[in-house]
Amino acid sequence: MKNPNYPLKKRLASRFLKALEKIKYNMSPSPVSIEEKRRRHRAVRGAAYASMASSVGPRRAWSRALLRKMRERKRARRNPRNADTRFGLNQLCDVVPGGEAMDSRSLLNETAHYIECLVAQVQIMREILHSSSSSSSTTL
Amino acid sequence: MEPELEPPQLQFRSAEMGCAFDDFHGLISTPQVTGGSSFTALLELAPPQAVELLVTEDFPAKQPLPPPIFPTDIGLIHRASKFSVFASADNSMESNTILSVSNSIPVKQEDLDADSRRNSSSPAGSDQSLKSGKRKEREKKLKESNKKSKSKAANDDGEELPYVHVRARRGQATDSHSLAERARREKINARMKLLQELVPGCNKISGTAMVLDEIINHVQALQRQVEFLSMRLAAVSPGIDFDLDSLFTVNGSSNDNSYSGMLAPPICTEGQLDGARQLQLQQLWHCDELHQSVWARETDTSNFIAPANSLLSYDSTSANSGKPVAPRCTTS
Repeated sequence: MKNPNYPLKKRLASRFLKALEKIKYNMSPSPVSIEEKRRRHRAVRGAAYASMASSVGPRRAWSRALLRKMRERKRARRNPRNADTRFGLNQLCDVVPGGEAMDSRSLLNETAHYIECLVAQVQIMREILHSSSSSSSTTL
Repeated sequence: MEPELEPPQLQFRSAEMGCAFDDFHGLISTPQVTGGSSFTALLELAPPQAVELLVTEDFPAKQPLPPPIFPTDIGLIHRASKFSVFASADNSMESNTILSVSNSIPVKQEDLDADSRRNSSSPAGSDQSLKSGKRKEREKKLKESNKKSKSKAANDDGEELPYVHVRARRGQATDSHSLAERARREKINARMKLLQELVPGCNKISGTAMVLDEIINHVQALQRQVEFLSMRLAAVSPGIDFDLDSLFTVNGSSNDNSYSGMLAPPICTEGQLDGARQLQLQQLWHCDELHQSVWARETDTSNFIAPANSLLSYDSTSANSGKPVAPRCTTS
């Protein structure tokens, strides 16, 4: 429905790789404790969402919400919702970042774009794993 | 006539974005506040001439009126004039002049007639419906959504009037509230259709609630995938050269929608997975298996389970063992 995701993926990939490199530099090569591993896991996951949000920028409400969350700013005031029911979108607004402050239609818009970005991000992460495991000497 | 009308329409469209609804409401609700003199001055016509224009209900653009001074309000004035003529018994001078100002725009005859019919059917509630209709039209143009509307072609055609009617279908209530409700619901249904296309396997499901469930499951599944992949990435040794990855991602971006079929093979990492991590992995997989309906539609169900077993079989001590366990899954 949108134009090809190629530029989005490029942006995502470059940002995410940069973030990964930063994490790798800061962390010890072979963490022993569980806590360290958890920290690294959280850092990588945060880097994934951060790269998603920053490559999309302030264009989308969900990316704005993510950026806000990351900078630990005060969340935006709630916009007045439509008077009608939310058609069962209450669960959706919990899943999509920044969903409570949107009305039904923009929430669906945001969800669509969020899904696209998530798919691209997952693809990139898989490809990174692909290439990293293929480049290591011990595989088939 | 048309070339000179292009700029006001374009201006109308662009200025529409900045126009607040308050202005519109203020215009409609208190026309006398603005004073009739301002509109007649707009027209540069004497009031009786304006009334004369009004009397003929036929609105082809016969007379070349001077270009309106406030082009942003043309559409507002036009629509306001339409229902003000029919709804209000006392046609004030302002509304008359408003109507005549709108003559400069080529009016779609059938729209007006149909509007008059619709308005005459429910004069009392027409104000509200047209107000909300106006809002809907603006929102529609802003959002560029395609609706089931009669004059949708008019939207695409740049020379026609850029507004859209929400027609009351046969047998449905023409109440103002239900009209607004129906329009809103239609918009939301259109959005839901777009989402259905995004989520795989959602096209066959009927019913809004189930589709919503599917969408939520999909988003949660994607988030879980991000979580899991980030864990695996974190476990990868930092010695990997990431410049190669950029090349790979450029090549791999051609695989579109392949995420459902593709699965990253288990990492033969130098990192060590201890029991705690394996337990976490197991829990992740159990959560996923609960949502069988989602996973079954995607082809990677079996693929997901296989690497879990392979990961569990890793020795925590062997750094460079790199057992080539589970079969590599190719992109579908």
